Amino acid sequence: MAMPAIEVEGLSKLYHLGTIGRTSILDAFERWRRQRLGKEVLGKIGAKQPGLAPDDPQAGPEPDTFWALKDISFSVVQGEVLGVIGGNGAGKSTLFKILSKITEPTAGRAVLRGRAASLLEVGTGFHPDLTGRENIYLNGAILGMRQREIEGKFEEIVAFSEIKKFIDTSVKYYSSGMYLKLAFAVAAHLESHILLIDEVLAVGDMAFQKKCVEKMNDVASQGRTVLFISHNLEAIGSLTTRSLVFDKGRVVFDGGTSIALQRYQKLMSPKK
Amino acid sequence: MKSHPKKEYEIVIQPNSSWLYFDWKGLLEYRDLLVLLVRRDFLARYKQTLLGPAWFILQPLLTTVIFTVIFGKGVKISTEGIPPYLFYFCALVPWSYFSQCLSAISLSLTGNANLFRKVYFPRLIIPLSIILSNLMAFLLQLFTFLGFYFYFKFFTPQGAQIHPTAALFFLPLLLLQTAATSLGVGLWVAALTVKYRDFQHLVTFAVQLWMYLTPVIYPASVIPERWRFLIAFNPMAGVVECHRYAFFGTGMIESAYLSISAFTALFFLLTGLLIFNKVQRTFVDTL
Ligand SMILES: Nc1ncnc2c1ncn2[C@@H]1O[C@H](COP(=O)(O)OP(=O)(O)OP(=O)(O)O)[C@@H](O)[C@H]1O
Ligand SMILES: [Mg+2]
Repeated sequence: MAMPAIEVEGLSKLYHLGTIGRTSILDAFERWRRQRLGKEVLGKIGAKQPGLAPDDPQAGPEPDTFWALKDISFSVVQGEVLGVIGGNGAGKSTLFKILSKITEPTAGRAVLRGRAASLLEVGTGFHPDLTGRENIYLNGAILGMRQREIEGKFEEIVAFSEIKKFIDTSVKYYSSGMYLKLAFAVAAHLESHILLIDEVLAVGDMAFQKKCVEKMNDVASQGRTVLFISHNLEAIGSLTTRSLVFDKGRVVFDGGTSIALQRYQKLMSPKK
Repeated sequence: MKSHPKKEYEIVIQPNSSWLYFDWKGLLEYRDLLVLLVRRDFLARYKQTLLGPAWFILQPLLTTVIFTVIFGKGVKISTEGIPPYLFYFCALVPWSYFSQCLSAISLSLTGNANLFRKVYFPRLIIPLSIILSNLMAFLLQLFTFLGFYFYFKFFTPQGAQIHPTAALFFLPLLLLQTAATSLGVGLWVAALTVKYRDFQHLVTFAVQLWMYLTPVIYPASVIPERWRFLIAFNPMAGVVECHRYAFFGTGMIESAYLSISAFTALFFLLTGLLIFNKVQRTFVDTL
């Protein structure tokens, strides 16, 4: 039995609430001053503590922190297509960001076996002033393709994107659909063992969407491992047999897609 | 069994504690991206301009003209017997490379936030691409300078007074020192900017100030002897002074000062890499 393509153990991510990062030195000074002034004064100034109730399961160790992901574990065997569903803010994209090295986890560990590519958005790094052709190369390289690889696939990418006529036009003159088609075409031709896709299938017109789902099916049948976030339950149902259901930073269900979908629908239905 | 992905592709993701862990292999894997980014910078920067790459040359030329009028004709600071326009231009070639790189690198993390939030590649690629793509402008400016230099040396009567020295062979080293300083300081500022946006505004001002602290519009010899040791800690002072010495044979060249300035540059570079490397791991969270 081969080692699983993806193993995730106890992965957690702590985020800060509020506006850390948009601060200036003055803000930092102000915070330091308030801390010195002590708590009663702090109350009078009305320092608003953005916050979670202390009994919130997502509350972090410090007052203005929370667990966007808490203790996630699962594993995926090679060639499996795994659906990831859950409400807004449940932590799905956060998981993908960690798996694609965009940010580090706070705790836990993940192992990916194979070359991984992730698509959190199509058209990342497209430069409006460059032509379609130049952007195919640039975007491919940003996604981790070697130049030779892109050269080999160039014709295929252009054909898939259906915008051959405009390939030497600056992409800022493209319609938004054309732009997305080109971007998706590049991404669809990534050679990788593991593919993480976050909600990017909903691009283009209906014909193109169908083509995208077909391409996904293709990818899956090549024995590649795919993790696939979507709010399009139909696509999840037709592409995957197993799904994770996320809720408030935890995996609340891991198993057959049909049961997962029921579970998700129950989560989403308004509580009495 | 299906061909199993090779062992080399095993990626382990976990909170990283060591300050010293540096992903050299990843950097190497993305070298094609580096090349393409340099090309993109170059193509995109001048795509809808009339003069195109001529701007590379016009920028320092205009600055030289301004300096010549203000400091050469007006304030009359010594230029050690060299025509003011050559004196300034000679220093501006490395200086504009330095200041362009420094400002661009300082803004490189915050400016590419949308990219960094959506895709991973070694973050250092962006600063490196800035260092490389500005090299082109540097070379064009150097050649323009050489044009003026040769004209003055061989076609004017005063030309006989200036003598190039063997220090010309050290120009590549000076370039290296310039790149190291701008990369090191730029990485520091970029890392700090992630936390405090103030640095974004400060950097333009700081670069200006830095120029006046560097012997660009004046020779190092006008600095009072007592304070002269201070410029050893400004790597750009050594670079600029050496540049002039190489072409004109004038200036204050002391090997002790130059070694200190090289070490200072190296210090900036190493600490800049360290802090940047640390910050890049989670900076998208706060960007
Ligand atoms: N950089 C950040 N700083 C603070 N909080 C963040 C940051 N990034 C994400 N969050 C928070 O983490 C939680 C999970 O976000 P995430 O993007 O993973 O949700 P999601 O499951 O992908 O939702 P959606 O279905 O809407 O895409 C959200 O509450 C979000 O506000
Ligand atoms: Mg999301």
